[in-house]
Amino acid sequence: MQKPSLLADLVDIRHQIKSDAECNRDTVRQRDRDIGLRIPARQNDAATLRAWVAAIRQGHGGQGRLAQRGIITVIAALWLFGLSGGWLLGNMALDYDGSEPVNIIHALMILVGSQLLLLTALLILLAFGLERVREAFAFINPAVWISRLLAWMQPAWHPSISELLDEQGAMRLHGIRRWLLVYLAQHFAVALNLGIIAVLFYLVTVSDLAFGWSTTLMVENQAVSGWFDALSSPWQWILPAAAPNADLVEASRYYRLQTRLHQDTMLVAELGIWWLFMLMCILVYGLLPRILTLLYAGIRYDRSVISAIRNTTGSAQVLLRMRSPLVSSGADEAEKVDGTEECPPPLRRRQIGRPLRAVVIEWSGVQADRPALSRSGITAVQFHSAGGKQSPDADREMINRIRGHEFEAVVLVAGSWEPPMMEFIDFLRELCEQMDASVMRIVYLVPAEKREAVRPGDLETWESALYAMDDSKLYVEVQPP
Amino acid sequence: MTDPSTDTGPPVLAIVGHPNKGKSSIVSTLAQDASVRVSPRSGTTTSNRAYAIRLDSRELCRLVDTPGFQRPRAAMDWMQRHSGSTADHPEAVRRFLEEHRQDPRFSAECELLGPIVDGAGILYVIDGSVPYGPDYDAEMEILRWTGEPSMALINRIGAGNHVADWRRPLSQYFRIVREFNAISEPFEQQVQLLTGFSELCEEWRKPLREAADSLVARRALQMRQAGERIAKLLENMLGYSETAPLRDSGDQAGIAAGRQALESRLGEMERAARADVEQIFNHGGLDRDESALEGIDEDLFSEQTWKLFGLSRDQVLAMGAAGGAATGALVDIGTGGLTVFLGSSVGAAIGAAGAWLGSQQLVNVRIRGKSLGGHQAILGPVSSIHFPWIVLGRAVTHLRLVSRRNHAVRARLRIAHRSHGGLASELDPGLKKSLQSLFSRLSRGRTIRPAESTELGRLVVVAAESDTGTVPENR
Repeated sequence: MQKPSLLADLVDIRHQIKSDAECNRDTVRQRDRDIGLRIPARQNDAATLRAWVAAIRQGHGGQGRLAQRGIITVIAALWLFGLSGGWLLGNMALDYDGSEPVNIIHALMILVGSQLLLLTALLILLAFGLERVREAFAFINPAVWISRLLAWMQPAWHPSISELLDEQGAMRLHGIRRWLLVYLAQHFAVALNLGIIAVLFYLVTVSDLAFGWSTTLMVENQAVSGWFDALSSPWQWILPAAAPNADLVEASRYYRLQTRLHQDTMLVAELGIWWLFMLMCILVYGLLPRILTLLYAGIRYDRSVISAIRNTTGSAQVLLRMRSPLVSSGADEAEKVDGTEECPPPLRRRQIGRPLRAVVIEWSGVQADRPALSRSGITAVQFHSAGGKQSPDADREMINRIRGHEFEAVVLVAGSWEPPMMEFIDFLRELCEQMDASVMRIVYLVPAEKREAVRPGDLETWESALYAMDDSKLYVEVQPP
Repeated sequence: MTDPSTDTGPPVLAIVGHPNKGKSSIVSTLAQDASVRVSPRSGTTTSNRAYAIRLDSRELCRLVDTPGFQRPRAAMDWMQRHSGSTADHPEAVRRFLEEHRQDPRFSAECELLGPIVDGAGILYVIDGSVPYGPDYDAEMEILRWTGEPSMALINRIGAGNHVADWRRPLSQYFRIVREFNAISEPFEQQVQLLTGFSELCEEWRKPLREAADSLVARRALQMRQAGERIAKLLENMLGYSETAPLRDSGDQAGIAAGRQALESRLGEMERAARADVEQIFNHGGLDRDESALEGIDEDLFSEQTWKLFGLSRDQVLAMGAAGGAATGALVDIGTGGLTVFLGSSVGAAIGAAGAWLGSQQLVNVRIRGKSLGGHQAILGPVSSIHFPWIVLGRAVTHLRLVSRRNHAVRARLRIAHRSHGGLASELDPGLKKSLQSLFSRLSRGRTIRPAESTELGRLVVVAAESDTGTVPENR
């Protein structure tokens, strides 16, 4: 699979950050930290973010691939247009049917002069702000055509790519759009020059080209020779054959109404030497500057995308998630919930009538307030202790001791603030089993603080626990304040 | 019995005790996990549940929430009968476990003693708000028999105070006795408790220190994330405008509908940001007591909200004057000082007057004709100088509440007390100025760079951490 371009990564990073906002925060945090641990720590921010999105993509084509394919398609189309345009333009400028030579000045104006003009315009626009002047030169500006081409393609692209390339998005994103258009325009220009060079080679190879020059003005041959000399100064030291000398310049001058050329001074075939000069002019003044601007625009475009990657909203958070250690402190697994938490109905209330003769057992050292017991309609005939420091065997012995006595109720006094533990329930069960069925069993709850009442929540806890015993003679009561 | 000093694994602490004494609350607070089932009803925890503190995938320490003792006297009775001397007490506990692992009567004891026998430190939790009783002795004795390092923690659940009564029996069984309220203890104390466990075993010092440092780092990260989320909220709310179709240029009902839509959308943004902040602090799905939230759950545009969180007249004038003076100073500089501070003075006066007049206007309303006929109203952004401070004030109050809320708290979100007079009155002038500068740009509909957004987030955190009268009621 093709390596994703910077733009593809930018599109995917923006898209991923947006979709992460809808995901579970902890999952995203864990994923990013895992990726962060796999990436070398010394990478810069943009490289780290690119590695991050590559790890998430895991080889699958994201939205960025679409953008990348779109840009590649546009570049391919521009090369096609450029090469064909160059071929046509070259053919037009170098049109030669043998009746008259190709006017070298005319050809230079078309093939090199126009390009230099456009290049100068580009440099001016870059220096003084492309946005402001662009509209004025829209009709000759390839960037504007490409912009329209991109706009035409946008409906086929994902919204995240369209948003990236639209005017507002570009403003925010560090001039990506501007440098992309300049970069694409340079591709076109390079292809155009190559098309021209190709047609020149073709014509030179398969036909005889004869170049000449002509003017109505009273211009000395020497002066014209000087201009050509100046034009060829960049290469004449290395390729003197491609620099026309004064003799050739003079011999190439022609007047359409007179003899076509000074055939007495030079062979017609020698006029073809001009093609080398023409080729070098296109190479040096057409192709080379465009290759340089292509490289420069490519670098600026890459930089603008890198800057956008670094500054994309949310990228700082991604880097933070990747670089900060992940501290987790939760349960290893979800808690099992046993049944429902519904409260059982409260136990039946005892009707307080005449005082009950009762055996009072104080559980775990909790003492009942004697006057309060009376107010509750309980007359204690015996007091015993259970639980606490006493062993379970001692508790059983105590039950055996009270079994033979006559009483109407057993009152088990307990601290309301302590929930009923199973050892209390065990004791209560044993007590119930040993007592006569007619004996009333009362769990009598005492508050933690003497002057306070038992808290409703504590009573509910006790009732919930004792409800399961399903004993019609069992009551839970609270000590009156 | 495992000697923790030779164990190379992370420290494990078993939180044990009587049923319903707040063991799960302690774990919930220390592990900062609000998913722990905490219930006033006894026996909520029926099996062990481990909570690990991890740094990346490395486990630094583990807390084990256990069910409460149910039959400690019977268990102790068995152990006493099967132990010959003090030296074999730990062995007796181990044998008890082996013997009763399948016995439903001792399921709670076997469950809670399991990790201790495997080398976990003991954190014995009691409720200091209720009296000590002799029925605790059996369980404390069993824990002593295990021979593992132990610490007693007095957790006061209720209003009563029996801490002094508890200290004597606890100190007989445990070398270290500490007080810790799982519901109200601030974060710093929680971290201190965690590092305090290293007193149980010297080998644990390093991993526990690392665990504590990790929690502190996470807290800082959470604050930063929350700050950035609030910064994003401010960016979104201050620059937001709503378009409403109008029948004609004087369609007041259409404007009112547009205004309602604007307010509703701003309210949604605020609620979404709050949910995110709660999630950042692992408090997702908080229940809230709206009546007790004093303004932060009031309607954003209610009079009460503006009174509580808006700027005072003096603050409006001061902020306007500061902005005007800065502009006027440019004139002074431009004239090389010839205006002798006249530019600054006039600028301050104009700024103050403008701010005061501007503060009376709430929302910008622009009526526009549409190209295909008809009209539309563009409402917003909300232009009042009060508005950013109200949004920030409410967000910061909420952040303070959430960030200071312990994870054991199951009560609704509410404020016990908050100082009136708006957030601006609490902040130092430098911070206020930096915030106002960003607010001014956002209110004019200008976007700020990501770096400035991060800076705004930082300022929000500084504001949230500044001294305040807002106290979350951790009950």
